[in-house]
Amino acid sequence: MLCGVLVDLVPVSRQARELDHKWTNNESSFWASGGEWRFVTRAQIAARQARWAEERSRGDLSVGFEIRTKDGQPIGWMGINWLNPTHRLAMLGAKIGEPQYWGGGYGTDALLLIVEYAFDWLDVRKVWLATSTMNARVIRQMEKVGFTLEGRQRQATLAEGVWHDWLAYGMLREEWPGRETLVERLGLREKAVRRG
Amino acid sequence: MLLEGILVDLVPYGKRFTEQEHRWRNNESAFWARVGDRLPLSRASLERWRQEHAEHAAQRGRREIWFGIQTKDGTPIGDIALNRFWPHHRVAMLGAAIGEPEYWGGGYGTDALLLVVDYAFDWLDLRRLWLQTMGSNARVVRQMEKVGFTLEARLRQATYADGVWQDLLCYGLLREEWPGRAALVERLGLRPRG
Repeated sequence: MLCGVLVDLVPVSRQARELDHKWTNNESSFWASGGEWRFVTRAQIAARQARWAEERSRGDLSVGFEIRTKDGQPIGWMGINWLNPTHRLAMLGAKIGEPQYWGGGYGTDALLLIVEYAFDWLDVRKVWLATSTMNARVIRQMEKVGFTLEGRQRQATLAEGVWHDWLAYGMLREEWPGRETLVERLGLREKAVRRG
Repeated sequence: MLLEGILVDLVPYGKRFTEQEHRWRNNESAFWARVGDRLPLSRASLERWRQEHAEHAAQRGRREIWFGIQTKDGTPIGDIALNRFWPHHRVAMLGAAIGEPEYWGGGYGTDALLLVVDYAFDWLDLRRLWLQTMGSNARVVRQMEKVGFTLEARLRQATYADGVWQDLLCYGLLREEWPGRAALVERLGLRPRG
């Protein structure tokens, strides 16, 4: 388990798997995917979970953690969707399924943990992720954490009747100041104290 | 015949093409087409990959359209495909390889590209196309500029190839930026060979 300030990253629990149906059908999916909004049944969720488990058992290169608050509440996913071992390149994917945990530093704490894990344990050389222009929270987070905006795919996604650009953010290992520095700079400990 | 060009035609990706595939996927063209991956592939692993890929796509409801590229005298020289369809965003990604190096730089790939773009916009009602290449792929970079794609992303040092870290470039084309195939054939001076 990866131990953070506000959250820990832990292996996916049964409790979190049961929340997947709710997390997939609520607004968090829309943000996590950059504009997809699908409605899925419990049976479809079960099939998807089985497929992921099978892919991982086949050795497909992905990593999936559950994000769990310090008081034991599963609130979302953080992981490496896709890892290329030759190029040591990891694409990150995340979701905070419980909207009341948005904007409180939980996602950022989880992000710092996975980036550190990628660089210091998996010997990844570059991490990147994609979001869309409508996701102001993630854009702000990327700036705060020090990712570089590397690309803008114009009008790549239609959401709420409007075309939005896709944004690609990347960070090279030499640009990573270390998790401790960022926890300090972003004031995550103060946030944790305030949460009591 | 599916799509008729000036130097090439696009036809179904059938046995005449798959027979060449083992050679194509192991020569230098794979390195350029697969943005820096250069894996030795046995016939068996290629066959397995093809089967798994098809199953995977079917299972997830993913649509892909593969064309074989052949010259006017019927010689198979490569493939071009539309994949990663996003039906409601009307976006697809392009992928292509000219497996026979002697056909590089002669306009064959560009002719095939114009056919597929035309098909995507005028028949499939797509709205946006995009593709990726390596920073060192000067031929494709030039081709993108000529055809009018916009450089939308430079993913820094995203791929390790031939001993150096290279950027990955993403190019995109929106439908309203497409002047039409005929205009480009004219502008690029594509003419039938001898």
